[in-house]
Amino acid sequence: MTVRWLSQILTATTLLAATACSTAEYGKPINDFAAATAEAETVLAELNTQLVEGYGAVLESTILSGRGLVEAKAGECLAVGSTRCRLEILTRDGERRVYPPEPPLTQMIALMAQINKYAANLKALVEADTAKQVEGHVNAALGSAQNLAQTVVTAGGASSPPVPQFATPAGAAVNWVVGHYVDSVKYKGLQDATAAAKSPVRNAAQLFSVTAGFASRIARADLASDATRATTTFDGDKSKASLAALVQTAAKYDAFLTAGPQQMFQNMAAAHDALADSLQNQGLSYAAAVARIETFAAEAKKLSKIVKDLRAVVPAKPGG
Amino acid sequence: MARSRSTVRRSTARRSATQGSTVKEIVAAATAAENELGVLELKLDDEIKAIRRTAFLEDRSLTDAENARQTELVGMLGEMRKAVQVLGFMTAEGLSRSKDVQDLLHRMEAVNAGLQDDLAKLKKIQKVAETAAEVADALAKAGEKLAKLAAEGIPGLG
Repeated sequence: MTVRWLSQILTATTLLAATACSTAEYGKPINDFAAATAEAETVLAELNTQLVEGYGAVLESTILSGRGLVEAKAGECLAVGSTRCRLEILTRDGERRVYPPEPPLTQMIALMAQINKYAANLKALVEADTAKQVEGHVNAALGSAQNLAQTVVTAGGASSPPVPQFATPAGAAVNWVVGHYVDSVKYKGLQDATAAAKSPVRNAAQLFSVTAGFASRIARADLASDATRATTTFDGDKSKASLAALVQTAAKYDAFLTAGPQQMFQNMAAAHDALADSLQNQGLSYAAAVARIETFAAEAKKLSKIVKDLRAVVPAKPGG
Repeated sequence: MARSRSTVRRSTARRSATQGSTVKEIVAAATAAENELGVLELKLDDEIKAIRRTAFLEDRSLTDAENARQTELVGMLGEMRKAVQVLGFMTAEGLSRSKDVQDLLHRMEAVNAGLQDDLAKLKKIQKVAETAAEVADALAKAGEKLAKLAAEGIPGLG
């Protein structure tokens, strides 16, 4: 067991020495990537909430205007035999829709959670202080051995010579080997994980980007209706105040159209690609990888705030 | 706004008919439906603008008939935009439920399992070192006792 372990250590150490790489320099970019991914998860969750609220408001107006009949789902809400009590809307076209609507992005949120977990795992791997912990144990073991040797020698008589300090050089050698082995495990782990995650993260980001585009239709339609309403209001009341309201409504919609979340998810894919390529030494410098991750991090932070603030910009219930 | 409702209905029907559809198919169906709605929106918006422009160029206020027509058109536009919202919600929901998302989820779970293995490997190295330290410490203590006994002589045997 020990021989096999040592052999693994030596092989890995040799390999690591050959590639001359260290995981320490990836600490900050991976940390930044993990933080930005967490922000991206917040953005997606917020979009999910906005979809439920926006679509819920459309269904509500359908019910209240008498164009939809609200009733219990078949076999539900009964005294006998029912296991659930949920409502749905029946439209005159014969369509049925669950009311209130359920969050539509459940699976996608689960996927984003896995990406977030992945980023957190990368961070845990790069930040694991195994070598330091091992160093403490190795030094303790060698310290004990030193004490034993000293005890044995001392038992021989008061005139016995002191035991030379062998613990420090031996410990340093063991710690060096173990440290390099640990780093090789970490480096290989990062290389393998980022290579395996490259395609799914890129595809997921593309999917999030497209979905965010469709999800934004809720707010877009509300803001477009606000602009139309403000225009007709101004026609009936050509005052300075209603002109200012029209200008403000248009500016609000313009700000929304130019700050879509699609770009942030594309930046997430670009940042991850850069990290993976840099770890694989695929022609992308470490500095370039760091730059792309920083772009994604800045975008995610900015967008997280915008999306959270969006509720204040877009009314939860459209006026019609 | 029967036309906008039927556009969304057709799109929903297409999606339901191909449950487990790929992202590409869902996006294609939604984009086609949205394009139809877009044409309708533009037409309604153009008519509203035309009413306003005509009155402006003739330097007069809207007539009662124009006002009524404009109100009707704005109402239709509102209904059409609700159809856009319904389409947006259903498309987002369809994309989230697509097979592609399931596949990506499984792939990311596999990547995470690999990373967990690596972290476990590091913990194991730590554990081995810890055990070695404990063994060495126990040996040192035992050796110390033996040395003491040897120095003092075993009681009863002296």
